[in-house]
Amino acid sequence: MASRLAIYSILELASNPDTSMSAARIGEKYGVSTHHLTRVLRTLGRAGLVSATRGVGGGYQFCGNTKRTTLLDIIELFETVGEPRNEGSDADGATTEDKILGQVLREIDDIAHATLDSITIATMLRLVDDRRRAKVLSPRGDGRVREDKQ
Amino acid sequence: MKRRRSEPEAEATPASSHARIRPVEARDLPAVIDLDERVTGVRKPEHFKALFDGLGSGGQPERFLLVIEEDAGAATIKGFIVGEVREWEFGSRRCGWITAISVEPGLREKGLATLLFEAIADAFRRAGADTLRTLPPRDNRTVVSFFRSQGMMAGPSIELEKKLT
Repeated sequence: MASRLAIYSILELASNPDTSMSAARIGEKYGVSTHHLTRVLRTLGRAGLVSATRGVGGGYQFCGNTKRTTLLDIIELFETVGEPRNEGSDADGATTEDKILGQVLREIDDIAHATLDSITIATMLRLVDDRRRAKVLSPRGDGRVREDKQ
Repeated sequence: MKRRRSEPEAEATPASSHARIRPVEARDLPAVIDLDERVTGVRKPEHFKALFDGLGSGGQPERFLLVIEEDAGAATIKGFIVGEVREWEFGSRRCGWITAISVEPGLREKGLATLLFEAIADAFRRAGADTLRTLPPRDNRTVVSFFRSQGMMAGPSIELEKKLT
């Protein structure tokens, strides 16, 4: 959950890099508490991805690099992707069945890791924008343009 | 090379207005082979000669090797892309496959690869393909990230392999 909130927060802030946005405003869009979101934003701040300004008109701003920051970079601030090595099926004394299952699970982990590490924030913003524009331009059966639903 | 996710965004320098994309010509091959070696570390002259010989022939009418250059002349080739339209391999309907893309390492993030991608996508469309696929190495983050940035997502197939030795 924290990883997902962190990604949503980064997408909101990075899509408006010149303006500050409060945790309350982000929380309202995604239906999460400001308290929970603030903890996530604090972690993003320690990682150098967002900066906070206090006071009236303050909030958070994205200060990272959208082309260099990937989904994996964000997720790994909150959780480990994949099973830690040297545990379970890799441990000394693991059965053959453990080792084979471990090989299969490592395949899943490797694919997940590579996928998340290949998608930058810039790419995510583009995908979101493309989807919104596709909704706006997609004609309804009656010939009218469908309204974009955010 | 460690990513620096907090490194400020640099101004993106757009591709030169003089950049031109065209089909490869025989005189381009040395530059293409040299560029590929700089990018991959492996020199493959026979591979590219075979590719070139197969372009537009009866056996491979829908194979494309496009180069991007700034100013005229083979000496200024800055990138290339290779692809072909295939049908019914692995049960897949007609689609275009990108099998290689390279841009001069010092000229990246200027939109050259995007121009090459869009040019070959147009070629694929004209050849009747409505889907574009590629199969980059999972650990080649630069290339995979680039294809992702062009809107590519995981397809329906999965690559499987087995060692024979």
